Amino acid sequence: MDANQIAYTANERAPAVPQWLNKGDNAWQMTASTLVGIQSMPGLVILYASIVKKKWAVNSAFMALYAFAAVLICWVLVCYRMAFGDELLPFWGKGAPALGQKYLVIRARVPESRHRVTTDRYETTVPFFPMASLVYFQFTFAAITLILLAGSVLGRMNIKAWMAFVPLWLIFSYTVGAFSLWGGGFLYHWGVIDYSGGYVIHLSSGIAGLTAAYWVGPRLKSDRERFPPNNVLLMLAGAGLLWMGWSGFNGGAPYAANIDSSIAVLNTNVCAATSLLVWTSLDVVFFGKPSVIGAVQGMMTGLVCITPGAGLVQPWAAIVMGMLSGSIPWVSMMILHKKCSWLQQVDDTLGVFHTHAVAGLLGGLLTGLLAEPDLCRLILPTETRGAVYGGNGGVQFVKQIVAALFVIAWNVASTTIILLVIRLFIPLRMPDNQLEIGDDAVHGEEAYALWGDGEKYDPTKHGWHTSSYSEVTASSRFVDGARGVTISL
Amino acid sequence: MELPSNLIPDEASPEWMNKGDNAWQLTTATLVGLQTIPGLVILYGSMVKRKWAINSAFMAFYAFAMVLVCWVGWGFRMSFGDKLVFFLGKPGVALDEKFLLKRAFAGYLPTATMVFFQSVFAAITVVLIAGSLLGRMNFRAWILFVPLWFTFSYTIAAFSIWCPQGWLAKLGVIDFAGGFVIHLSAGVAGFTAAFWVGPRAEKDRRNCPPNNVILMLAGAGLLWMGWSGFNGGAPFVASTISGLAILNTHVCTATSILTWLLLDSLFFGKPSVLGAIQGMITGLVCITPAAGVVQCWAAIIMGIISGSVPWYTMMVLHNKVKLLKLVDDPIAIFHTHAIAGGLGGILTGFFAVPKLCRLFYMVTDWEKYLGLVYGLQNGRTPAGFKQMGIQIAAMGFVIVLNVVVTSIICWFIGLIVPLRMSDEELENGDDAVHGEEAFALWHEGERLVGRRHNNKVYDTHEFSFVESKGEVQMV
Repeated sequence: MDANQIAYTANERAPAVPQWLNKGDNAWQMTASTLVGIQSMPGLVILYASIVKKKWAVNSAFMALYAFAAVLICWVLVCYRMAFGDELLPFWGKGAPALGQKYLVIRARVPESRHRVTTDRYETTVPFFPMASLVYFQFTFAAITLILLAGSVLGRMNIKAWMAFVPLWLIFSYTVGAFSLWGGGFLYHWGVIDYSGGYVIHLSSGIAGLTAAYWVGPRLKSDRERFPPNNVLLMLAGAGLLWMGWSGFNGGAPYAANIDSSIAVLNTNVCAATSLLVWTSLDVVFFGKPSVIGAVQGMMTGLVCITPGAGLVQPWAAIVMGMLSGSIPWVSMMILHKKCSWLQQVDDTLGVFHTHAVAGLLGGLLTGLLAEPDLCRLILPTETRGAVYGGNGGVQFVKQIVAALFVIAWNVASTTIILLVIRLFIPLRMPDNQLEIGDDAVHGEEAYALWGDGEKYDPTKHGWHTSSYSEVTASSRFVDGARGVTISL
Repeated sequence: MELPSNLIPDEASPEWMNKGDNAWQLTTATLVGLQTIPGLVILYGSMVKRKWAINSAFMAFYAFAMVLVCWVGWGFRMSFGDKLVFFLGKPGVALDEKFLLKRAFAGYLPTATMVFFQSVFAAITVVLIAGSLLGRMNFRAWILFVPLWFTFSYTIAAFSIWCPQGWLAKLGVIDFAGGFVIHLSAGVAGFTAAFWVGPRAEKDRRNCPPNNVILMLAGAGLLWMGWSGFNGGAPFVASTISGLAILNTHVCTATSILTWLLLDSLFFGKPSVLGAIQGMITGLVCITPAAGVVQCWAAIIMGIISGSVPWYTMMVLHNKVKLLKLVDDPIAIFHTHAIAGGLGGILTGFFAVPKLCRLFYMVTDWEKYLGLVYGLQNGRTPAGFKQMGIQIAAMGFVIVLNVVVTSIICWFIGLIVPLRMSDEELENGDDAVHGEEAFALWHEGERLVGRRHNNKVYDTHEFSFVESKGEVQMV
């Protein structure tokens, strides 16, 4: 390296640092990707594993871990360019591999984002970092969408059916949403606002999850009736990674370490905090006690709700959004759900419909109300403002509704078709004998081996137990001394 | 051209320092630090039988701290400083601001950033060795082992392969982020030490389920995502290569996991989470010597190989080779690090792209770096074979260095303290060694068994012996 070169120069002769590369932006983008990756692995992996009943801990974690790995391979093989590449249809890009260094080391570019700024000037999204950083960043979003979807079908989906489902849903649903709203598709050019994935990620996974839960069928009755989290502290660890990682989720969306990114990070945390407090307050008012799990749900809805507007709304608006996201999904989950017989029929294990579909839709609509024009001007293609700011803001609100309807309809349809196709070859739900036993039957593993000398639980050795907290046990026909057993009713 | 005000240097941000690079390097160093603290600490703690949870976590925790102190005391300059001999630098402190605020030996970074970045690599190497010794090594012996091995093995490998003045670096070895220096080294040293220390108690070898699979996944997750820092920080610049390195890292890992899962499902009928984690580790290890200098499609191929070859050596070959069965390697560090690391080094010799090597090394004689595939393709076959030869020579050097040095160190320590725990300690586990237990979940949060070796400083009250039968309550 030439010792005479200074660190910043228009004439820096370093082949790995071309003229278009801004190190601050690249560093931040890679950091943001890592943060979002951590949200999934281990964030959601351990959150799922610890929020479910102990017998499903390993299976739930496994579904998430598998999805993370499988999505990455499909992403670089074909899906990145289906979501961010050249146009095939107004709602879909042409798939192609993103595997060669010729493609990955050049400047990042979203070709179909090209839009007119003035009569003779066009602009395309061309960040100051290489394609590889963008491919990886967008992968982490695709992965977490699939993992969120899994949350609706925990505790009974046939693992082989899940393995087939992940690449299919990624190809036929996620890429469509991503291209339409982010990759330069029709909704993007029409001017719909989805800053960081309220529709692409959350509304999408919430609706698809509910649909999948319908087709896969419910958990065992005994599981539905009693499903306590097996490790609250570890759940909080996962929730913590999820919350802090969101700085990458919303902070990385402008593709630069700029002022909009800073506002986004601040808004994200403000909304999450407000939402958590409102949800907890509602819990205290209606149920008497503040619950930590409720607090986590409130944190989640706040994070989801701010996502479509994080870099585009004022922080006071983020507080308003937090109040609404801490209450409206609370009402839908705790009150409306119990009154709607149809919702009661569908077994959505973690309530992903409420925390992601409802909160995501809420966020998208609120963004249509509260998007501040100066902030919008920083990163959006067309003159945009929320309804509260007058002008063409009312139209913006309508656009948000229309986009939501598209995402909902597409997800219901595609998820249904995919599952019906899979069902021709693989049963969607586990067989009853596996449902009875849980992890041990599906994976040959159990989450904990804490008893006696550090062994798995074995009633013949560690004693039958009764208490007001745990289930009444009886002699189980599934006892197998060396490998541990789960109690069945 | 006049620079905008945010780029104008001042005394705290000298003209040779790039803020983006410095920010990125500090981030990557932190990510790698997180891989050990708490990554490997909780991975080890939860992967072992419950009675060894604390001891395993503690070995990792202690090692990280000890290495950091040794690093600034003498290790950094032995690994990256002025040449003493062709394989080692002159020891010296890295402790005063005059030294630390100067520009680093590479990159637009201050030395302090470089010292910290390199320290977390040294630390994790030693922690990896602990993985081979879990569940029976005398803790005092481990206390001595850490600074000795670090001083007499790690520094030599690091200087030879990474310091521009090291003999293997001069020959043209490619070890992007530590396939040889970290993984092959730790795998071989761990295996050698495990041989000398001896096995766990027979009861522990037979029955050793992980005590907390979810926590194990938490540790594994930090390990995986932290690798963005491990490989992303290797170029010392937030460049195109660091972005590519990160992408390649995760692609290889994902492929490796899926391959391992496939093999597990085919041969054992069930996909297992522990298998997925092993596949994850082999993928990460294998891509490490190559991450920023191979194509992404090559990363997929490497993932398929790293998900299958170590699977084969671990599940099939291990049961057929007497030496492997003799040595007790509780979490298969030899297979996941020595085998996968060596494999990665060889595959690097295959797939290293000349152009990417030019972007990474940024030296005038970059043409000496050449994967065999490209040598054959460009009619430079002898050069391609030379690269492969250098990779293999480096492998041989690291293996011999570690077998010899680790053995001498174990012999030396054995003169002072026993290497293996006493039978009583082996029987009782954490409580005997540390006076602590990992979990207090029973009844109203009490310990499971009576305290026979009270740790008076941290304990608040005695517990009476609680029968495990009939009283255990899982809430």
